[in-house]
Amino acid sequence: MVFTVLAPLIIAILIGVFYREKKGFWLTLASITFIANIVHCFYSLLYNSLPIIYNLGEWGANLGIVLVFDQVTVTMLLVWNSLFLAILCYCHGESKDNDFKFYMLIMIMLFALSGWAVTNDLYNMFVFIEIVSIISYALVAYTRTRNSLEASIKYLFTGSISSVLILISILIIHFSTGELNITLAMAKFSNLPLPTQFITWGMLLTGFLSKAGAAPMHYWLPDAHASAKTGVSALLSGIVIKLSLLSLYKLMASSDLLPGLNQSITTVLIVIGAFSVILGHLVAYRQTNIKRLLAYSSIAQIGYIIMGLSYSISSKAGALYHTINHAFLKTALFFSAGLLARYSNSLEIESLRGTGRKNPIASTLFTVAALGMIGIPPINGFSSKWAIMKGLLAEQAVLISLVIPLGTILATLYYVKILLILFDKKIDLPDIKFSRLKAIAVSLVMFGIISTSIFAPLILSLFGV
Amino acid sequence: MPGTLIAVLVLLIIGIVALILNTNLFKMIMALTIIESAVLLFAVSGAYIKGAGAPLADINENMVNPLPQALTLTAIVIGAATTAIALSLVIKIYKHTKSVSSEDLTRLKG
Amino acid sequence: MSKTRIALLSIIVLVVIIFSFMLNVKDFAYYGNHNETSLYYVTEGVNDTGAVNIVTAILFDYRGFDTLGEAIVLFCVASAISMLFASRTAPKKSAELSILARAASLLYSPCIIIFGVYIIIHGHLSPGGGFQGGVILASVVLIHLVVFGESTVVRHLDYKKLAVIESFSLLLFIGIGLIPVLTGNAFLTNLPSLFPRGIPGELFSAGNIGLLNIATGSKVAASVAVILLNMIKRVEEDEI
Repeated sequence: MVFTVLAPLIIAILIGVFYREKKGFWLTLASITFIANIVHCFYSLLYNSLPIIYNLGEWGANLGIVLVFDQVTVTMLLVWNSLFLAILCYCHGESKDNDFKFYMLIMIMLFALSGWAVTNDLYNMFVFIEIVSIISYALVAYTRTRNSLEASIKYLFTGSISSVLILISILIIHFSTGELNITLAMAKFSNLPLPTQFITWGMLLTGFLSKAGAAPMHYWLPDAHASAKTGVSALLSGIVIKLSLLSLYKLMASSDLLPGLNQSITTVLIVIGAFSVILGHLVAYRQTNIKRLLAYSSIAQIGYIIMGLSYSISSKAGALYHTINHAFLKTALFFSAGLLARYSNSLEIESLRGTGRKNPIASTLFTVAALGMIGIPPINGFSSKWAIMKGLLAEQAVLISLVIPLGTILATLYYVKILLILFDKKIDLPDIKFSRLKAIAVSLVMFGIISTSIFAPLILSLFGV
Repeated sequence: MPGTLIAVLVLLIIGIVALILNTNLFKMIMALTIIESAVLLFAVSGAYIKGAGAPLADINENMVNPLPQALTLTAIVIGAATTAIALSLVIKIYKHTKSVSSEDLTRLKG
Repeated sequence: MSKTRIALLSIIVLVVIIFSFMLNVKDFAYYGNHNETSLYYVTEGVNDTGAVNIVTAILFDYRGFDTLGEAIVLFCVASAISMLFASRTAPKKSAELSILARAASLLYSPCIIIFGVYIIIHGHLSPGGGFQGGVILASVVLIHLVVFGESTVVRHLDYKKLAVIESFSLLLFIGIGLIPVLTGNAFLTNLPSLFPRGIPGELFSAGNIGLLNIATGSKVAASVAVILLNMIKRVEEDEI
């Protein structure tokens, strides 16, 4: 099972050395690795007895690092491997002479994401979060235009300060409990006096939420998404910003919090979540650049996930399911926006007028994904939002749970506006031939959306509902 | 030990003041390095035990805590790597805009 | 220094001071004391791993996965920086320092290289290890870049070959970690059967820690050299 984590790394280093000879061979090998990982994860979910506990170096939990492969983890590995396969196909289809270092960094990012997901050690988690952050700073600046460099350095400063806050909290947890394993340390951490716990959890929440792009610390996110390549935007929006929220889920799941602390954390998460939802949807309506609009839509969806993390098991399961759904939906939206923007070479929404009728494949993907983001059944966006709302209602938080339908109404406004512009009457547009790899990428993402929609009850039961 | 903690606090405040009040990008990166050094000083100072020596088994019987020292080594490398990327981004920004002031990075309004 | 900045600054500084006084250090039971894990490292570390330097034993044996992550951070930064700076030919003649500096640096460069290799190889015996020694080796490249100018150094050190050395060192690290997997153990295990422990205090002891040190040392040296050689590039004479 550890090969699922290590294989992308080995392929990445081999690509770095041998790429110049035969490009196609190495990229095909990378795709085969992803497919093998996906098959292995499916096999583990169905037949193996999870959780598998893997002691690295054969030391136990109190001496060394322990990797834990349980249901949530293996599902995340599966989803990420399939998304990386789609992004690899799309990026190679976009321009065949990408720098080989681009593919190398993407594969190392997959290794860091997989290693992060399975590790059960506090400091190891921090190291992997740092690897992912550094690779994202570099990938945002890949196109080396002035806008992308500026966005990257703003992202770097915000990300570094958040990392420092997370590191201080991890050191405080280590010095007060004496352990670095997540299950052992968080269990002991609940016995400490309240001021220490409050301050540590406050710093952890600030660090993780600003890495996730929650309002009011969201200002780096639209810049980074608007200036990056399409594949990189899909990667950032679909996977990287969710990483910090999943870390929060891991830490909260292993610790039994005292009631006062639990109440405060829940209040903070709910307030920030609701604020992100409303701010994201409202500002998205006023955007004229399609990528900035999708970035603000991501901020709103992050708000939903934060609201879901706060209360009970069912809303937490809904939040995890929404992580997967939003990854597929946002990737679909970014891919189709990138394809449709080719016709006029500009990212303004007005210049996408009429492109929907010209390119039916991309516009179908956009329509399905937009309907999913709004939350129309039976597409998967509805199931996850409904799970979050059911969890909130079960805990008698009726007033706050009304934010979710409110967000749905606000999202409908701007998505319908874009769809009307896309499907306008035929306008003279040039004929552009898209490569077959892009069609493969589009169909992969579509397949992902459909399968997560159909198997909604199964996935929710994997997460514990 | 309170002396070390006061030093950590002073370094943190110097770093934060420098980060917010400066507009030169190089000085902001240096302020980031100072903040990270403050946190790592906190980590290493927690490893010291009164009256014990360095963790070398053939010289000392009584050793200090070796675990935070290993954590600090990794964190120093990560901090240096972030600084390297930040500096190269500043070099590329200078090539485009001919200035290193953060007041000129106003093209994108988040 | 606008008013908003000073206001924001004073709020943040006030918050930091208040929080630091609320955190009572006496609550940190293990700040300045041993905990069970570090007591085990201190008493049994030498018997378990055979390394005399306990910090190296933790870095490469008990928590070897962290070190792999750290090596990958440097690898990513080296590739990212060479991705950011496009390739171009070096200038014909760069400025160099005076004859005193040039002669002195030629004199002591071999000493620094030997010192760096010494620190890498003796990582499990004395303070040091792969990372420290690798950076010392890369500092020789920096000294030569400053003293002799870019054009002379680039004639002898191609950063593409250094990138290949760096990749092979990282593959060596992962390979040493994967060998126990072939015999059914976990990744990065220090098996006494495959890697002989020897007598603690000798050069050939401590299992695979010595090999991992050498792999990490060469990798770090190559990475930092690649970063330096990339950042020294200019387009014209009068830019940074």
